[in-house]
Amino acid sequence: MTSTFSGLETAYSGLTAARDAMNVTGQNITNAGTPGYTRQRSVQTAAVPATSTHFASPTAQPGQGVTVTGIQRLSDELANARLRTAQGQQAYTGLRADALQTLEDGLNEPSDTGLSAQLQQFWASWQDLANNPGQPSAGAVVISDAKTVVSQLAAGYTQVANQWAGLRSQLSGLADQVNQAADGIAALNAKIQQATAAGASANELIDQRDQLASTVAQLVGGTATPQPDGSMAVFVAGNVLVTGQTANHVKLSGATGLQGAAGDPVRLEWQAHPGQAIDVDGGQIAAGLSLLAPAAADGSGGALAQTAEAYNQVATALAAQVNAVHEGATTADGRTGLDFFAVASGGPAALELSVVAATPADIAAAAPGAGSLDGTVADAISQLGLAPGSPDALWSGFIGVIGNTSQAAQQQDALAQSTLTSATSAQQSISSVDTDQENLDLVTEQSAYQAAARVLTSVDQLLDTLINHTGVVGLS
Amino acid sequence: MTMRITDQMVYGSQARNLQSSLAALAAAQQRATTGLKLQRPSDDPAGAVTSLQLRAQQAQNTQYSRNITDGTAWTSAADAALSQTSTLIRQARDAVVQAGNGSLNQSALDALADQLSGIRDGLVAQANTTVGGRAVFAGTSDAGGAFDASYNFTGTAGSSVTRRIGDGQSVRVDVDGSAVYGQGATSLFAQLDGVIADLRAGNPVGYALGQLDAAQQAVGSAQAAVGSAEGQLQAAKSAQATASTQLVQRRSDVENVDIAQAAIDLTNRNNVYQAALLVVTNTMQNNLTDFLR
Repeated sequence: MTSTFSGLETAYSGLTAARDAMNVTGQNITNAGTPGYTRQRSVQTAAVPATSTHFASPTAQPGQGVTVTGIQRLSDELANARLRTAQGQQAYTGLRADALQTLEDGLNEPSDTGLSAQLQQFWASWQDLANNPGQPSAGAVVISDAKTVVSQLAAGYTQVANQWAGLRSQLSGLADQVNQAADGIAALNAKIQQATAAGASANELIDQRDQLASTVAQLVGGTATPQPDGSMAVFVAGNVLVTGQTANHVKLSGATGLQGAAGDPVRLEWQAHPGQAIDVDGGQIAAGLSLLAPAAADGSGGALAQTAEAYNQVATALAAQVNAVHEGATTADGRTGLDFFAVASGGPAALELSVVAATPADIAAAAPGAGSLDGTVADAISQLGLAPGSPDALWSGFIGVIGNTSQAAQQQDALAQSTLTSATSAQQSISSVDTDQENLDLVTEQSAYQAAARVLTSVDQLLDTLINHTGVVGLS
Repeated sequence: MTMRITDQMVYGSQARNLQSSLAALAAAQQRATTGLKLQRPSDDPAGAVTSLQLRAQQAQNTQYSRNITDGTAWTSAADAALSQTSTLIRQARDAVVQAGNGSLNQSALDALADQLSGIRDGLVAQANTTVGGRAVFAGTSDAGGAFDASYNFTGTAGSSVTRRIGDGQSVRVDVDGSAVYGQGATSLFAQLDGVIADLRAGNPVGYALGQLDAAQQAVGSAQAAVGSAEGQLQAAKSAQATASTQLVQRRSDVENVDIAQAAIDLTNRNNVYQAALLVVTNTMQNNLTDFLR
């Protein structure tokens, strides 16, 4: 036998369940535009009939209404993980493509004012000197064009060094962000475990934690895995960044300037294990580290250091090749064995290059014994730019290499972008709010509420009949 | 199962598509307004290297053109001086022939000597012809003229003045003065001095004809050399002009956009962008909320 009043309880459970569901739908609609919000659904279960322990019931019992068993968060960990991987890859390729384009813009090639144009002008000035060896003005032009090349090399090198230092300090800031995000995930792990233990919904906290996990992926790549205890573990390069409520911190160490980078490469380290570089596999920090890497002899080093090295090679080749010819020549007043360029030791060649010849009289344009107005050596110097291995050839070869590197980075970025788009769509397809669907749910839930209220009215009328109108026949 | 589509996905993809067509439009605008398809090396790495090489060739070509102009000034000066020299030698020969006539009295011979003296001065002046302060016949010497007062040659033996007129191609633009005029006691000037002295002394001067003929021959061969240099300079000049046009063309092929193509491209991109804007404004105006009562 069911209780006479059990119908009221059933109707009440329907009213509360419908109201709860509408609240959840309201939460979904209001957060339709919130970044990282995952749609939720009220989970309802039909309440089982009450069973009597004392005696067997003679009739079948109906259920006791509806129970709200929880609020489900509609997300798919696989899609989330795929999105994080795609975010990490795109952050890597994006930073590389941007930085390489900035680098290319700084090279200013091909143009009428770039290093290669200045070198051509320098060689041409030697031709003019060969035509008019005695004219001080021709010599003055050679010296001033040489100084232009020298300052262009120094300016180019300095620009690369500045970009290097800027990227280095940017990465330092990114490493701090990694630590903040790791701390945030650890703190949320604690809150989520507390909320779950108290039986409350932790859905919004989990959304926040997923957002932080995405931030970590964009910064350093790695993987984030939800654990059975409700916490999230984050691994970077196979080592623990966050587990449970503890977070390990990273730091950026190594040289702070381009010139020290070869001896002390920039690297990401665990604060607890200084001196050991983390092999970062994705995200902006990995991209930055790949650009900041020291130059390698085969050209496979970091793009910035490789560019600086190209400036140095041009400066060294220029000084060595011009001096080799110039030393064998004689000036108008008969001096021989003079250098035209000098490269001071102790610094990068591009910055240490200088012009030795102070006045046109210090330029040796004549072959010894060929007459004081001979210009054959000046002519020979003017032809240096055509030879294989000349500064010009080194430079244009490097322009081709950096162009290819940057082009490849842009293509990789476009690819990563489309992977990210597809991963984002897949994740949003599962987790993001569709307002049409929520509106339909709202209509359904509203109807459910009205229907439950109707049940309540019916039960009320039934009780009215029972209490007020039963056994009153003939009383009045 | 078909993919569930949500508002964020639709708005997100619209935003992405608008962004990408705007980026494409901006790129097309930049190409059309600058006329350059090679904005930075990564646009076409191989093209960038080619462009640098073509620019280098252009710079060399411009320099060759300057060298040719400079060289032509030398050869014209040398040519003019040699023509004058040839004329003067012919006049000297006529005077010597006249002196051998036998019927001339001493005052007539003195007059011929005076004439030869003027011719000798003219020859010395021609031999010391300068271009831009440098003696054409003195090679790499920095003395003001090719011959000093005692007819000594000031140039360095075996040296020459050359101009580079092409890749690995040089041409000699001066003339060795000692080969044309001789030097010191055996120079043409000293020989004429001897003839003048003999005329004034009334001695026969028939021996001078051979000397003058030899000098005329030397001038002739020098003229031939200068003429050949001038021919080379002319040929180089026209080759240089052709190369210059070709280089401009080739550089343009690598660096510049086809303007018609760029204009069409720009219009296309613009249309795509306009259409995308129209679609965005027209589609997502309504959702189910608008129809629920």
